Formats: sequence, C-alpha cells, structure tokens
Amino acid sequence: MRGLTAVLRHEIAERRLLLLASPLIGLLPLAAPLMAAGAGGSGTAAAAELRDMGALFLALALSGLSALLLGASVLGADLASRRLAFFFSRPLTGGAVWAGKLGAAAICAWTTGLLALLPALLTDAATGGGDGSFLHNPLLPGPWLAIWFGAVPLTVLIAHHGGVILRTRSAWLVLDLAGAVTVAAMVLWTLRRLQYWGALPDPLPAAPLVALGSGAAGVALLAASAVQVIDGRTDPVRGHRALSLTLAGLGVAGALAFAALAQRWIAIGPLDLDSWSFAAVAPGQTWIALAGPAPGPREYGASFLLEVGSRRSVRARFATSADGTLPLAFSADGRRAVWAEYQGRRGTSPGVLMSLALDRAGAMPVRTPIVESVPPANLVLSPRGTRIATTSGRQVAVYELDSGRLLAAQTSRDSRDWQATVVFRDEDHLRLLVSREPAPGKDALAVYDLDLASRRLAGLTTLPCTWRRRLSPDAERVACHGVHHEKVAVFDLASGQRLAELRQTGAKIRASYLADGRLAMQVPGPAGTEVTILDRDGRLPPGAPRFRLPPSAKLGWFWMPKESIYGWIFQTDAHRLLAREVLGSRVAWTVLDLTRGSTRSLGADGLRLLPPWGVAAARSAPLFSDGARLLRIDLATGEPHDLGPARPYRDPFVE
Amino acid sequence: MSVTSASASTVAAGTVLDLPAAARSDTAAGALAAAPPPLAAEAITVRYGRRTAVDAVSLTLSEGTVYALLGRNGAGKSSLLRCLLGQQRAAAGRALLFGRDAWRHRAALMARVGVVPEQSDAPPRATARQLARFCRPLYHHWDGGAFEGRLRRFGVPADLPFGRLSKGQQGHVALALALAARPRLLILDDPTLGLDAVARRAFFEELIGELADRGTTVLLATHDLAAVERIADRAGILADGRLLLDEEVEGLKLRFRRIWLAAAAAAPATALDAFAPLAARETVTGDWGVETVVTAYDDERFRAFQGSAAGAGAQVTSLTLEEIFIALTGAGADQLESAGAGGPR
Repeated sequence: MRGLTAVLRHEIAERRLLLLASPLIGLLPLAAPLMAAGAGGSGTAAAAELRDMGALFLALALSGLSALLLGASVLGADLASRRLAFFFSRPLTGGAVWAGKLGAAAICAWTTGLLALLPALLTDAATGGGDGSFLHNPLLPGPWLAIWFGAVPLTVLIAHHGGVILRTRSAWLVLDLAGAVTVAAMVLWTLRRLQYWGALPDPLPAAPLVALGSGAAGVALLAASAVQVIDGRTDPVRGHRALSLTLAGLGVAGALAFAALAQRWIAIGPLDLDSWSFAAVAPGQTWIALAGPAPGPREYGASFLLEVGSRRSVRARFATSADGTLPLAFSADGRRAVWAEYQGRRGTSPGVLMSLALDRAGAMPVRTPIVESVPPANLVLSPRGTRIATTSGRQVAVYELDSGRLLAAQTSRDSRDWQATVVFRDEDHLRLLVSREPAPGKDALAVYDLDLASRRLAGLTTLPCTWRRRLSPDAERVACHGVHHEKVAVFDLASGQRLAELRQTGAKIRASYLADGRLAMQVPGPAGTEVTILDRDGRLPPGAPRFRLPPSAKLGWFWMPKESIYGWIFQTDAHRLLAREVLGSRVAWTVLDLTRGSTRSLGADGLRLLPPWGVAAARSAPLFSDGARLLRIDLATGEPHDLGPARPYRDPFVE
Repeated sequence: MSVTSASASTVAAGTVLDLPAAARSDTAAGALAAAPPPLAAEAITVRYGRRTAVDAVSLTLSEGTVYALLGRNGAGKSSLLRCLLGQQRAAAGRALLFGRDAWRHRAALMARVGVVPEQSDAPPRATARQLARFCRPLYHHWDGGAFEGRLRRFGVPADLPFGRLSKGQQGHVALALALAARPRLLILDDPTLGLDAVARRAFFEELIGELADRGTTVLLATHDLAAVERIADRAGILADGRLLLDEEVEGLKLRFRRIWLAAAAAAPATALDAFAPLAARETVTGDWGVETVVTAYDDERFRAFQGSAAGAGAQVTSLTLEEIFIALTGAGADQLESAGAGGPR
C-alpha cells in the first residue's frame, strides 16, 4: 500500500500543471454572457444556460482528452523509453506500479473534468442557478455523472492498450487483431442466436448492451494491463505478449462462457420452463403445445411441442400476431401442427409458416413456402390438413400447405370490418364470419361462403351479433350473447334466421356448443348454477339433461389462441362436461354426465386442466397438471394416470 | 603489422586496487560466513526470438566483492543485469539475490539493492528532490542527508527537472538515489557512458568512497576499463552472451603478459615454438622481431626461455585490463577457446 500511495502521489504530482490549468480553462465559459450579448441574446437565463452547457462540454472534452492522452502515455511511453525500469528497480510491486500509474491517470482525468466544471458550478451556486451541491446541480444529472465516471477509466485502459500495442509494434499485434475479430464474431454470433430464440429482444437495447459490453471489456482490459505490467515488467515485447495473451485468453474465454451460457438458455426442454403459461392439447392428445417463461434473461420465453408418450419435444418459435394471438393450428385428426414463426427479426419480420408431422416419429419442423408480411392473427387447417387459411384483420388467404400455392385471397373493402373468422366446412369450402364495428342500424357480423374451386365469395347474411359469439362445430349456427349476458340469440348462419332467444329475467346467461352440436346453457342463480343442454337451435328437447351446480361451480371459458374456438366450455365426449369450482384457494372439478344426468367430483385439489385444441379434441380422459406431474384422468372412473413430470401451470379457465 | 600498447609497463605486482580490499573481505567473511551470496546467476539464458543474448551464464559474487562485468556492445551485459534485477525473465536459469529468486521476490529484494542504469531512467519532469521524496518512503534506511550531500558534492541542482540536467548530472542523481538507500548490493550498468572525464572521475570517487565506508557488494558493467582497474577485485568478460572468463583481476594481470623478442635474437619461427607452452595468442611478427600475448604466463618458464638461445634478450611487460579485454574480445578473439585461458566458460 505504501508503494501504491507513493506511485499515485508521484504520478499525480507529475501532472500538476494539467490540474492547475483545468480550472483556468473552466473560466472560459464564464464569458458566455458576453457571447450571448454579442449574439443578440437576452436575459440571464440564456446566458446561464450557454455558460453551463459550455462548461459541461469543456469539462467532458478535457476529461476525455486527458484520459486518452494519459492512458496512452502513463505506462506505454515509460515502457518504450525504458523509463519503467526506474520503478522496477525500487522496492515496488508490479501491482503498485500498475495500479498507481493507471489509477493516477484516471484520477487526473476525472479531476481535470471536475476542476474545469468548478467555475461554472460556483457561479451557478452564487447566482442561484443551482443549489450549490455538485450532485444536485442540474448541470450534473446522476446517470450522466455515472456514465462519465465509468467512461474515464475505460478510456484510460483502452488508450493504454493502444499505446502499448502501437509503441511495441511486436508480432503479437497479429494476435490482438485475430483475438478481437474472433471475440467480436463469437459474441455477435451468440447474440444473434439468443435473439433468434427469443432470449434477447431484437433490436437489442443499446444502453444495457453498451453497459455490459463496456463492463466486460473493462474487466478484460484491466486484467490484461495488470498482467502486462506485473509479468512483462520492463520488457516491452514480453509485456505486449502478456497483454495480448491475457486479452485474447480472457476475450475468448468470456465469449466461450457467454456462448455456453447462451447454449444453456437455448438448449432447454419444456420441463426446464419456469412454468407453463400456455398449453394446448392437440387432437389425439399425444402432443401438447407449450409455452412459458424460461430460465435466463428477463422476459425470455420459450415454446415447444411435446409428445406426451415419448417426452420428445420440438422447440418452436411461436410468433405473436399483431392482435396478440398465437398463430397455431392442429389438424382435426391430430396428425399435423402448423404455426407461424418470424422469418428474421422477431416482431418486425414476415411470418413464415412451419409444419410438423405429429404422426411421424422423429419428424422435425419443416419450413413451408408460405410467408406473409406479418404473422397472421389466426391459422385454420382444413379437416384433412392439406390446406390452411390465414386471417389477418380483414384479410383472408387460403394456401395449399405443402406447395404453398395461394388458392384464394380476400380482403374486405368495408372499412368497418375488422376481423374475420374462418371455418373449413370441407377441404374446398370455407365459411367466413366478418366482425364489423357496431353502428346504428347496421349488423355487426357478416357471413360469407368461399368456394376455393371458383374462388367465389358469396355473401350469405348479416347478423346483429355483437358480443361473444359461439359457433356450432358444423358452422351452421351461432349463439350470440347480449352485451350484459342478459340474453343469447341463436341464428342460422346460412339464412340469417333467428332460431331462438334465450333469456331469463334478472339472470346472466351463457351458452356454448358441444361437440355433437347441442347447446349448453348456463344460468347462475342464488341457489346455484343451472346447466341445461338444448338442441342446436336453442330449443329445449324433452328429457334434456339439467344440472344444478353449487353457486361457486361454473362451466367456464378457456382463453384459446384462436378466435373460432375461443370460449368453448370444456367438454369431454359430448357425454360429459367439466365444471370448475373455486373454494378459497382450492380448485375442485366436477364431471357432469350428460347421459345420466349425474355428477362426479374428481376430488383432487390443485389440478390444472390443459385445455384441448378445439371441439374435436374432446376426449373422455383430459390432461391435467398438478404442478409436478402430468396426469390423464379417466372421467368415467376418476382414475388418474401419471404421464411424467410437468411444470406449474395456471389454467386459463375464465369464469 | 604490429600491435603496440601505449600503457604497457614493466611488471609490478599488487597494483590492482586502491581500496582496502583485504579489510572488506575480512568484514564480509567474518560477519556473514553462512549468509547466501548477495548475487548469484545460475545458468541464465536470455533469448530474443531466435537470437541468444545471454547463454547459460553462471556467476557468484561474495559479500564485499567489486565485480566488473566487461563486454563489447551487444555482448549481453544489460540483458544479464535486467535478469539479475528481476526486471526481465530469463528463458532458462535463474538469478538469486541474497539467496532469493530475483524474479519472484524482486520488490522485496530491491530494498537492499541500489541500481544505476545505463541510461538515466528517472521521470524527466521530476526534480532530484522530488525523486528523493518519492523514494524515501520506499526504503527503511533512506539517508536523505547523504543524498543532499552527494548532490552538493556533484554540483547538481536539486530543483531542476531531471530531464533538463546534463547527462553527467543525471548519472550523479542516479548514483545518489541508489546510495541514499544504503544498499548492500549495488548494480551499475555502464553508468559513466557518455560522461566527460571529470564527471566520470567524480562518479567513481563517490563510488570508491561508498565502498570504503560500507563494503557494499558491487556489480559494475562498464566500458571504462581504466576506472574499473582501480576498483574491481574481480572481473568477468561477456562475449556473444557467453562468460569468457571470471576471475580475480590481480590473477588475470599476472596470467596475461606481453613477451617481446628482438629480430636479431632468433628466427621468428623458432621463437614462436618457444612461446607455445605459455599459451601464446595474438602473435605479431615483423622486421623488428616477434611479440605475443601469453595467457598462462609463468615466471620460471620465461626465465628458462630467456636463458635459451632462442629467447636471449626476451622481455616481458604487464598488460592493462583494457589490453587483456581487447586481446580476448577484439580481433582474433576466436582463438580464445584454444588459448587455454583460465576461468569458467
């Protein structure tokens, strides 16, 4: 410590002229009132601002220049002229020489800036332009002060390395250049990988990146300069070698460590996710689409397709549409999954459709030729999975999936139209439901049929259907809820005929279609929630099943990433329904047997349902997660089957 | 062609040192009999790329020794000294100061070592007084009074920046700084290079005074052979990185002699044969006769030679250290290996 102090004092004293000159240079901005007057400016405020800005610029420039010049010369010049031997022939450790000289350079650079600023600060304080405190003076906002505080030693270190390298001019310069290029390439490659997999935003935020990069570079430069001085001592070439090897070693090691960390973040499976925030069970129930926050950077999320039986998973990069939906679709037979990924930069690049054959062992995602300018809001696969419809706002396009051939494309010209919902009635025919801005005397839903062979779009009808529409599985009926759930109207989509209107005074009514086309109506009341199964036209057939659930138990809606199935209540096989009951912190599930009219409690607590994708996925043994295990529960018997580990999951059951 | 020596003189024994060398040796031997030597080089090798600057040099200095390290420019003296000072890492071998590895324990060892470099390396903007102020807290035995006294004796202004001092003054400041720390070992790397005669003399007188007072061990690399001859009690000669010899100066001067034989005395060829047992080298013949430098002079043999018909009238003269140095490292130095000179190789 004695040696370090001696070197520090000596080096600072050597630069006393610079320190003495700084406040004198800082007097220059005090001439700002004269300049302001000369420029025709008026008022003391303008002069004070000019003075303060001038002082700040001068201080930063002087400080930066000092850091650059002192950094380049404080050790490098002594090394080149062999004057460093003066210090090494004294009882001084290499560390004391290194820290004393570079520390003095940084202190001098800081101090010159502060001293150059001093006259303006004192003037501010005297004239009431500031509160007299360095740190609270508006001239020196904290973040800028911190940046300046960190930038000065970094500049000193960079200048020192440049000075040593240029003065030594040894062959180790080749390693310096090769190392810099290698490290930069590795870091850029890793950053691009992290961006590709969504661990880092694209574009990268400049401030944290610069801070992290500067910090890492600063540590490497600091270590390299220490090794250079301590190990190289008075030998310039040996010093340069030590510097180059340390810098290249640390740089490559750091880049490798970063790459390894990135690989650790990227090479994860669905069970590595912190939790599952999205789950959708494909028809066939062998595959689950999963997404959730992943370990790693903040806001890093990953998505997968997981095969339940083999635990094989495929990493996907689900894009998010402009509407915030997740463009994903399963074919009705459960043999194919299609989703949208960003072609390049996340968030801004076109969306490309990816396809995975779920029924083929070891199959990997295949990039289809279908690319849209932005990821579509929704994807709908035809029943056989050969065609796909994409919807983005008012635009609908239909493609042949494998060839990417565009079969039809329609864009509504009505500016009130804002969203289209598509249902494949068969491979060649689609029904389109176009939502419109509500307007007096205008219906809110337009219905069209699209024939792919002729590419003809035929308008069928318009309906006053503004709120929470539930489509029947065959797309022939729609149940439209009133704004306050005071009623549910059932329409025939082909003719536009109102078939029924369900309402009960003072009660909120909800209804959804079941897989077999019947309509389940739910009416909550003080004595409990009454569930009635109607026919597809909303009529009450004789002997229709009726259930009365406890007030806290309800059929609910799942938030699904696809508008056409958004809001389906969970059903199993058209014979059973699941009702969810929240009792404080407990969740209980009740199975409603539509055939027998009976109920069965699953009796399990903490079960989270992994919702099926669409009506066709309904089965009698749905998948649950209890937070640690994935379970398939036979609803007929209530028997659970363990399918392996799972992650905590919060089901999207919305009451 | 002829080789002559202006400073050659008739043999005179016991003229090597002006110093009380015996007293120094006694003190050292008595007090520190078991102590490790102040300086030891163990097969030090220094390489710059493919070039070997110092080639397995071994050397040991006992307490109180004044050792002159001689060598032509580029012989490897400075590289060897930097290794001995722990400033440069040897490619092979190691340097020990007071029994400790100089590279590993440099900082601690430097408290006992004074260094005067070849080129004054002190910060140019600092004055001598500021340099002393910098050094003072670093040494336990700093003698500020002695420092100031030496500056006065040398006539060096204490408040003038080091860079503005003359070369001689810079050397004097460097010596004053080195001696003010009261070192047990003083290492000087050609400290009088470029100094005028007066400055050189002042420098060496100060050094001699220090040696007389404190018996400091000294390793002095220099080209100033005349001065060295006055103070060194041991010398080593480096050539092409190798230590050609390492022995007492007095013994060296006894061993190296010049023998001269007039032309009339004998045929040159016969004379050459006669010199062979004395390890003759640099033999020069001319109309005037034959002259040679012998490296293994022996009084008895020479007298026998004088008594022979071939050697009648032969004369012998002593050599200065400079003449020995030239004989060993100058033209024809490649014959040295075969010359049979003593000392380690």
